[in-house]
Amino acid sequence: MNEKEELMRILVIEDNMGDFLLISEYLEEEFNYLEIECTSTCKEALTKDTSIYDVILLDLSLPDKSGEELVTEILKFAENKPVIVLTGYSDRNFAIKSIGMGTADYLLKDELKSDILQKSIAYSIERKKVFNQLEDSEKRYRELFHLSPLPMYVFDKETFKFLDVNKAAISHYGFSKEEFLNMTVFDFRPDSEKKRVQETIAQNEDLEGKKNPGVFKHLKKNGELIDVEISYNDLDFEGKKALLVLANDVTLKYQYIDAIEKQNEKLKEIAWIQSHVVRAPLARLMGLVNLIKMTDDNDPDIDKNEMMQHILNSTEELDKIIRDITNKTEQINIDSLK
Amino acid sequence: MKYDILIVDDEDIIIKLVRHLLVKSGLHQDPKGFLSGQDALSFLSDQKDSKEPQIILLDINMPEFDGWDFLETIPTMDLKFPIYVVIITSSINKSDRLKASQYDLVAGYIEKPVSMKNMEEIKALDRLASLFDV
Repeated sequence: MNEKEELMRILVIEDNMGDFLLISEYLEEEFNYLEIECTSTCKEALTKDTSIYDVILLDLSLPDKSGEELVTEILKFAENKPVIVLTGYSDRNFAIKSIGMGTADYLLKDELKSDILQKSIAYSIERKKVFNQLEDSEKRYRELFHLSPLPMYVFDKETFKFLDVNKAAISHYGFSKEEFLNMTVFDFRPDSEKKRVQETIAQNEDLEGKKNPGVFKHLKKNGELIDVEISYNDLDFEGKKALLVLANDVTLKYQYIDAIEKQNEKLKEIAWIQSHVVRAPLARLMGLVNLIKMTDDNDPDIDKNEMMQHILNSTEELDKIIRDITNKTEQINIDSLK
Repeated sequence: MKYDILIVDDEDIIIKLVRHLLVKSGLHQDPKGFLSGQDALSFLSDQKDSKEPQIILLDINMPEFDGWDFLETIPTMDLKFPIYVVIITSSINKSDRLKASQYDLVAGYIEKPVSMKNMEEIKALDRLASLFDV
């Protein structure tokens, strides 16, 4: 088998020398390349560097510590390395319990054989590897949540209580994590929005996947009202039906849109003035010039002086209108809206 | 056929100009000018017994009672004679032209400045053709 060709490093924590020799013999039978280290007390074990071992074999009763206290201590020390418990009949029940605490396996000393020990070690190492990978991936996902630059939170779908919030949410809203965990999602909204939240959740109940119900109003701890674009997903959180929510603050974006819309109104007004107000005296001017051009100097119907006066009036009117437009244009100042 | 032409414009000088063009072009020898839509409407309501068609050259942008108000009021007056409106406006907005085309009363649409060329356009309007036949 492959593992027989690789170097196996084992820490045996055992105070009974007879037992240790027996275990060593079994191990040597099964592993060609082997390094065994033995410590006889918990205290001594804790001085070792766990990272170099492939597996830790632990006797349940040591002179300085035993039982639950010992297992807890060694498991903490072992970190991501498998711990196999070795015990006599008398401690069998506790050995079973230790599995629940996180040990990889338990073996009864009286039934110990080389092949059983080898199998247990091989299984334990593999199982621990898979377990570690799973834990790593969970950790990565937790980090994705906690280190996301966008505020995110999880809340209970039934009680509406916060179950978790990420760092971005804490810094954005100003509530501490403890404060959040004592609040419901209604507590950081204006009263007017509370009904809408419940309705939105109810309406999207049967929708699969990510939901984007739009923009909602939230309140920061300092009372500031903000617009947030919400997207959320259903999530099973520690056995509770929950919603994972991403809240993107679009307050500034909305202020800009509002400012741009106001500017558009002003621009439309200017366009209207151009087409109606400017054009009226201009069209009159053109008409008058046209009339003068087509009439004889001595036409009794047309008083040239009167025409000239109208032309002058029209040019003055035009001048005034253009000044008005300039004033209006100067009022449009995008920078002042920032 | 006999017909009247009314010029409705809040600017006196425009009325003068249009009247001059109408006379010169031979469209009418004595067109009547009105400085407001209300004045023109009260003239029309005085013509109840008349059967003569009325061509109204109507400005749109007038203070208080504008050309659109005028167009809305005419159908409510129960006039016995036919009315043809030709819009004469300084507006060059497409939306105004479109709006005008939605009134049955409107037979033509002219953008200022008004010139002799526009008089020829009025003569060529389909809906008015029967009036100008000699």
